[in-house]
Amino acid sequence: MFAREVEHELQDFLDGAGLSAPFVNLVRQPLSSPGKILSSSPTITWAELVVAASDTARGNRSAAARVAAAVEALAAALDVLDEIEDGDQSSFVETAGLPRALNSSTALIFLAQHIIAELRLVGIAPARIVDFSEAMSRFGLAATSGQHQDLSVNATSGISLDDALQISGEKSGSLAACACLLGAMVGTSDPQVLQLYESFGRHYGTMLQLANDLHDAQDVDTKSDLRKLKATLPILFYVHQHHITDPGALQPVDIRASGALHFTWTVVEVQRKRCREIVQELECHGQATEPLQLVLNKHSSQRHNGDDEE
Amino acid sequence: MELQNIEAVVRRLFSDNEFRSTAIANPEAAFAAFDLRSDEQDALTKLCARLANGEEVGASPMGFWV
Repeated sequence: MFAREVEHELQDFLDGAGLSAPFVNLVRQPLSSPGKILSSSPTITWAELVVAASDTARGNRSAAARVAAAVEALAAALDVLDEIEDGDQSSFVETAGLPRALNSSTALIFLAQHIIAELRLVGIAPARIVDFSEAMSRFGLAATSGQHQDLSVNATSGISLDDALQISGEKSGSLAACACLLGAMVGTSDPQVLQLYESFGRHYGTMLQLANDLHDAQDVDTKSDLRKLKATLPILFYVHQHHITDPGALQPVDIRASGALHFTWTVVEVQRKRCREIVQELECHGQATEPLQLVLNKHSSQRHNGDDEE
Repeated sequence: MELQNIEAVVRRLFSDNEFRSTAIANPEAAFAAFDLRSDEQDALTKLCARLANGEEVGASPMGFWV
């Protein structure tokens, strides 16, 4: 199981980094929360996306596991920062305290770069490692740019639905594009094919973000989207129609009745169809697409009240 | 991707019962007045099928951002 391989990679790099045992334990925590790669039952993980792209591009598994470890570390770091920036409830931040949580996040970002720098030991030519590093930095920067926009607006800022979709794509699509591209780079260096992997990841990540936005617009107990009037598609759809300025006026039942959830659901479907079309294009380029299709279908069967798969 | 066409269709589905009935019975005819791309039309047709069956659209948190 690749999750175990990725876990070994992460543990080996943490153990070999010369950090104190308590600090290693702290840095492991964001990677070990429920559903994450080091938890007892990981759900869909960044590693899965990396390995699926690598397998589709016929890359070697050892290198894919190492790249996946780097992407997991980067994503865990950004998750911690996101929770802090959004003011969300976070057991890690509560346990570690804000300064140490921030420092752990910094360590995870450096860990990701460190793991990429050591790809030569798993068969990646040294000259290509720069490309891996550059791609990770580029997409990491794009994700922070999306996050900046996300933090700078709310549903009453006058932004359009297209703007909100663009922010989701930059914030969340960038990381999934990074995972797909880096995974594929293990198996191919064809720029045209790599562009397709990147595009798949962008649509895939955007799809997942929108699905979560759809869910969060209905969850007033544990999510802050309604309270903060976040500029997500379902909330914007409703606010544009009703000219809401008071968060207290937003109720999940009204959002549902307005069609806002149905609108968001439809946009998710369009993103998913784009993913399927890209998979077909990859197949035309001789890629072994079954692993990517499995990842896509896994989401289809997990979500949306048993929606059918094509 | 521009969302104005999907937005226009969904808003009408939820404000115009006659249009909603037509769209459920014959989505192709109902959507003809809108400048939809094929992927948008496919997605909206699936939405109408859900509306016809009285199925909710919800989502469980998925994947990375749970």
